[in-house]
Amino acid sequence: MELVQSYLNEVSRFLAEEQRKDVLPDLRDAIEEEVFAVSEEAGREPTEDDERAVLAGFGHPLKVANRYQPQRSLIGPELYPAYRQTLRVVLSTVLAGFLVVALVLAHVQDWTIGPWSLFWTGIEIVLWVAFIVTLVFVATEYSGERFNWYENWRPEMISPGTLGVIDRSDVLTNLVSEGVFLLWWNDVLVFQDFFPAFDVSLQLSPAWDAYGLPLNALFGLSFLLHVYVLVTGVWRRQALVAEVALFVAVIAVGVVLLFAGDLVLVEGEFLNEHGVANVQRVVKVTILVIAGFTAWDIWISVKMLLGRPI
Amino acid sequence: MDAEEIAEKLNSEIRRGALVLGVLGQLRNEHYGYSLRKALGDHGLAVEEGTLYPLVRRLEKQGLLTSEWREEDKRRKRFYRLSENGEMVYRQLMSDWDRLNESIARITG
Repeated sequence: MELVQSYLNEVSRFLAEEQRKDVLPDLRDAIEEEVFAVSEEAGREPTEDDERAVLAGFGHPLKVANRYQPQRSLIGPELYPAYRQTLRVVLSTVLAGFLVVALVLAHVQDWTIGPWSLFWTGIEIVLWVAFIVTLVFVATEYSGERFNWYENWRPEMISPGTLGVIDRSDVLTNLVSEGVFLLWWNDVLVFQDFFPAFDVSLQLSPAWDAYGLPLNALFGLSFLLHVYVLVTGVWRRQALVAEVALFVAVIAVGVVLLFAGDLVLVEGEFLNEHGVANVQRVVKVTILVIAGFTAWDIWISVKMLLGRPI
Repeated sequence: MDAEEIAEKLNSEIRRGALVLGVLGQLRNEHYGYSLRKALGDHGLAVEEGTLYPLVRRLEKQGLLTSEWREEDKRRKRFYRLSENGEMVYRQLMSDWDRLNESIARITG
């Protein structure tokens, strides 16, 4: 029975310490019983071939150990959809909270952050949130508790007026670009030392001075709106109308800026007049491209509002 | 995933539930592990050792089976049979099974 003992040792590797004492004697009895029964049927003493045949029937030690476990998955299929939804809601809320805190810190303490630090801070927040939410759901799964909002759902809980589901990647793109813009616009995110030195300095011209508060309001409201729709996962009529109104206002500001003369102050030892004009042109083309994407988003929203398939 | 794989996966889901019923039904009469597996196999419900023994153990822990060690043919064997609670659960499951069977027969018939 040396082979059987080795098999039990293998199974033991995949069992928790407290389970070993309980499971292994039981499994040994089962294997021995099978081996004796097989040899008895053949009318001889048990052989190693009998042991091998029986062990093959039991299967891989990990598989057997797994079948003796009371719980096989950290978060089971019943709870998994609720886990995904909760993760999405908490992540969106925490990232939105981070943006608000960063903006407040920038105004109160002149706090700034570089692009890479911002990226890694974002990753760190996402990982922590995912870890904590996962931990809560694992504990819920093991305790057998269930969420009232999920298990006892009733049709009365449906909010009326939804026009369609959101395109998650589209909303996320908007959310990230609005968040990055707000951080940059409020001097939280600084690109100093991020790009290689070209001996060229770019600064916003006084043409932007009048737009400090309006752009904060427009992008701040858009950001909050997109957090809200990302959490709910659906477009409601009021949200779509608000998005169209905000995007129209963004395009209007962009168009006004296009006619506001030079938008950046360029200084550089090696730039001639022609080079400076080209830089101004690139800035205006960039605004036009952003306006184009925004107009496309407006078109999609209007189509949904009119009830046409997208 | 082709049709065969899908059918195999669905079949294993159906078998998983049916196996519990088969084991409970068979253990209305006393059996030890090997004889239980043989009896199930003889009735067309072949089951691997690695599946049967953990299942029997789980059912015993849930209080649906009782077991006792006895000597038979000069060897100690563990004999299982339905507990009182197991009888009740078995009757309930069988009645559900019959209803389900009738429904499926009506739907597919």
